[in-house]
Amino acid sequence: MESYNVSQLSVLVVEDNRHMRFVIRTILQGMGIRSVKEAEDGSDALKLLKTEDADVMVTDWLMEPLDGLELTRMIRTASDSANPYLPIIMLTGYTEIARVTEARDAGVTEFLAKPMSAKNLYHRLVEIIERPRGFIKTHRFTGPDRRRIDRQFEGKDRRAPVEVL
Amino acid sequence: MDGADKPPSVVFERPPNPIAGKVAKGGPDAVTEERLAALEEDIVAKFSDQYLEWVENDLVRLRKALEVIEAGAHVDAPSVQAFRAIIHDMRGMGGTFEYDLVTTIADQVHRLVHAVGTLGAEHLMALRVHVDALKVVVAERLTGDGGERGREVLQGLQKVYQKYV
Repeated sequence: MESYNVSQLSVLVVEDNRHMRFVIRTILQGMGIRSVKEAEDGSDALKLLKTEDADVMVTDWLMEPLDGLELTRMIRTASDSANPYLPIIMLTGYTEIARVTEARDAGVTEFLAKPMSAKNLYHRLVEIIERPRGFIKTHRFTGPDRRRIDRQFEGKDRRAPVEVL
Repeated sequence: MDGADKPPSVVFERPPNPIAGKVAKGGPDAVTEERLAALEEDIVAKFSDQYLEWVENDLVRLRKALEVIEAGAHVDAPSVQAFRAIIHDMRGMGGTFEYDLVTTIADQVHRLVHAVGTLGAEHLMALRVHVDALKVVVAERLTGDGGERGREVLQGLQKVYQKYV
């Protein structure tokens, strides 16, 4: 695993359990990250993202009134989204494959199962740093490219980058 | 019409990557394996007492919710939802603080609650046995796999659990 100085990153933590939120903050600060912002649920996070920059968001799934899945969808697709490309780490106790697929289809960048550890969280940050994902927009999906492996194929490359104005 | 004038149905973008400019490989402040291991030890040391307070409080709330359920609450009642939310949090936090058995048992409870459409007398008994086991794990401070005592507790629960899941 590569060692990075991540102290300049700004991370938004969205978690309704205040104990867990404090633990995540402590872990991120232990990695040297100085800018850690907190939100108690999805709607709180959306408000915060209007005024504050974040390089990465770590969010829980199960929250009220706006859960992590809806938050992800809104960040990816809302016309007034502050940053549709924001890397999102979904941190959740839901580990069933159907749930992982649901999170991926909502536009989550990385999935991290609870119980979490500092090591696991750092590994997800390194994934985001080393393998920034292309972005796919279709009428049914907007989010990071869900295919992580580049396979050779015959025909036109529809994933060739287009200029974004 | 051959469709050549239609806008593409799939757009692939390479989004801007502001993170790349904010992280650096190596250096004295970089996150190393050793630093992460020390951080994980620090987290356990710093929060272990607080975690025990949190989980004991969770257990009190869990037992109260169970009592309401045992009094005849419907499967969609707020008390059942509260029970699910508490057990979800316990499952997500235990392992972070080396209480792996809390995560394992809470996971079984989570599956038990979701495996049945209605909570009959036998299901309620199974839930009660699991909640009592959680109390034993916390009261006896059974960290990690809990050793011989932990195996004894889990083996007893497995027989109950396998009847329903």
